[in-house]
Amino acid sequence: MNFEEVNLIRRAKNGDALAFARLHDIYYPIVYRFFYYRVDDMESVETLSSDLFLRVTEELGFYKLRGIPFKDWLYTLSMDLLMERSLVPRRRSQAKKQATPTLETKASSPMDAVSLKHLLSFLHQDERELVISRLIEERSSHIAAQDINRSIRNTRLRQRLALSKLNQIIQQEGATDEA
Amino acid sequence: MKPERDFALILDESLDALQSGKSPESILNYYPDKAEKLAPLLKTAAIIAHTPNPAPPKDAAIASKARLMNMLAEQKKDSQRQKAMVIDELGAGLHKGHGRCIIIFVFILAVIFIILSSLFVTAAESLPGSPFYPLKLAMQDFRLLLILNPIEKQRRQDFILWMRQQDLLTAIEQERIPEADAQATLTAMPTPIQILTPP
Repeated sequence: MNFEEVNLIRRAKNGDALAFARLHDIYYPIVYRFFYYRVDDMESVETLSSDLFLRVTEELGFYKLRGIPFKDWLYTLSMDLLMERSLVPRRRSQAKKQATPTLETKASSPMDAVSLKHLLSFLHQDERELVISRLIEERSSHIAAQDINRSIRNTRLRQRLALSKLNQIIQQEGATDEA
Repeated sequence: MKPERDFALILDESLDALQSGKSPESILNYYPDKAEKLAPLLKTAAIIAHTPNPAPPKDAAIASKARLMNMLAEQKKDSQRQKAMVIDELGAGLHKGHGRCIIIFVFILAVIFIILSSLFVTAAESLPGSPFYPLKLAMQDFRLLLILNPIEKQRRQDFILWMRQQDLLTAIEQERIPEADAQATLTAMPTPIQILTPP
């Protein structure tokens, strides 16, 4: 968190609407990404992203600048919101029933967000949460372990398993495309 | 450490390195003996990590910001309304007969409390010759009345006598009362168990 952001948060805590607007500009894409990979329905993703900022106006008074980074605090609020609305991510069995686009990726080619979201839907809920947290949101394995309520060792093993599964799926899709 | 756990830890460290901006190739150089196993997983991790972020629809971002601004404006209005209500109610309270009586009563009680406490504090420090000294004596007698245990009462009485003698001697030293009067008072005093010594 840089000086400008600290200053913005301080001003927002005092009710400065302009500071809130600036924080919205900075963090809206991050919050949107959080919900994008966890919620299937795109309308809900937009509603949740918007609702999160309304929640921030209510909760910002409790945020301590010397505590956890603001981004992590937003992730915590976002996860709470997700739980409240009972929109926890679907599991593989449910995800497979959806009309899904094909994975437009090969083992070494870049992927777009839609394909990645589809790819993640093949994982178990905890594994999906881990991959999002570690690789997309760039959080530490310790925080990811807390999020899924597992020990750090267990988290590392699950992480390895999740990456193996994803690698396998990408390889299979690549082979199918080539055939 | 079990081999699987060992590998899971190496993979975790590799992901940390990937997060810090290192390329999969440079990370594999750190673990040459695990490179074969690690390479495909790191490649997959790199693909995921380098996937561009989903772009939020512009309309949604604008609508969200507008909603936030409206909410803040509402909150501001609400807090101003509440402040105004509190001020109005206070004002109305002062103008209503009942409210005014309560406020005056509380004010009088506070004034009485302040006057009495300063009076008692001054009296407690007073010496013979001071206009507050009779109040001090009265306070001592009142405390004595509250003690029911006869032995304790006797001890307290002796202590009070000793304190009064000390007060008299201090007053003589400070020339607040004529020495002859003080001596006469001392003589007239009932004899405590040990005069001029603390009980």
